[in-house]
Amino acid sequence: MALGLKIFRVRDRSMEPFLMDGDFALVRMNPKRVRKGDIVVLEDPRNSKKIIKRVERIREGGDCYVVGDNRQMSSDSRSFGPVPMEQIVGKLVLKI
Amino acid sequence: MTWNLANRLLERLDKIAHFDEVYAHCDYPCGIYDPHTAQMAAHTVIRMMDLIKEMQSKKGGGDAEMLEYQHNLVRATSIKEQHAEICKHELRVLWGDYFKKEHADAYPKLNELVFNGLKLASKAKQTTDVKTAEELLSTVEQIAEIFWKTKGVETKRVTAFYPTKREIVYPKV
Repeated sequence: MALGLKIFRVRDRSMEPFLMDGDFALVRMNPKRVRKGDIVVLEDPRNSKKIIKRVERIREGGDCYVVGDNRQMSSDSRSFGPVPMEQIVGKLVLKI
Repeated sequence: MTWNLANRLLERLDKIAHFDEVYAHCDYPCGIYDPHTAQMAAHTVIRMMDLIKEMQSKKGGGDAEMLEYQHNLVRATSIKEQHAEICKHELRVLWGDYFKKEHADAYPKLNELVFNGLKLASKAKQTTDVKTAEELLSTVEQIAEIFWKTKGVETKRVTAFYPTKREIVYPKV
């Protein structure tokens, strides 16, 4: 990791068609600011695995409601609820 | 440098450096759902109703025959009850855990089918009228077809290899 950037390999299909299984993602770690529409890396509230989702909205108090672009194949805030901002560990800068 | 080249370079790097993985994951804990069990349960309900009907025509007049008949009737009724409940359970799991709002939006009949399926399974416990069980099976089959459509998998209806000789939905794989 350099300049706070990190490369991840995307697995699974919940962010299709934007991110395909096997794509590489350049991610800024500990982002200063997260906005609606950003694709973020966060810790799954259920098992601490890192997952990648899109921020659909930010609630009052700063909790993020995240969903997969491929809604029919995604488990996200619709099942585990909004996540606190501290759990957002990175923000997608570039997909490769 | 083209994206294609960048990607190939990263592929090679990944083999050496093993980038961390980030999951665009689809489900947790397992994502293992299948409408097959609900269909099997509906077939079992039909089979028990068929057997109950068959018993009526075969029951003898003697004490031993009557005991045998009563025993078999109780068994068949009990199994019918259990499998109607299994069918309800399976429908609840599909509806509660697998199907999402997007599925219900894409297939407007889905919610009503599940609702009817649950009601028909309850009704099948209360009756020996095979029409109720056949309606239950038909409803479960339609749910099975929607289930596979949501996964982009085609289905086929075939006569099941069960003594019920009614239809069953299989994914075309």
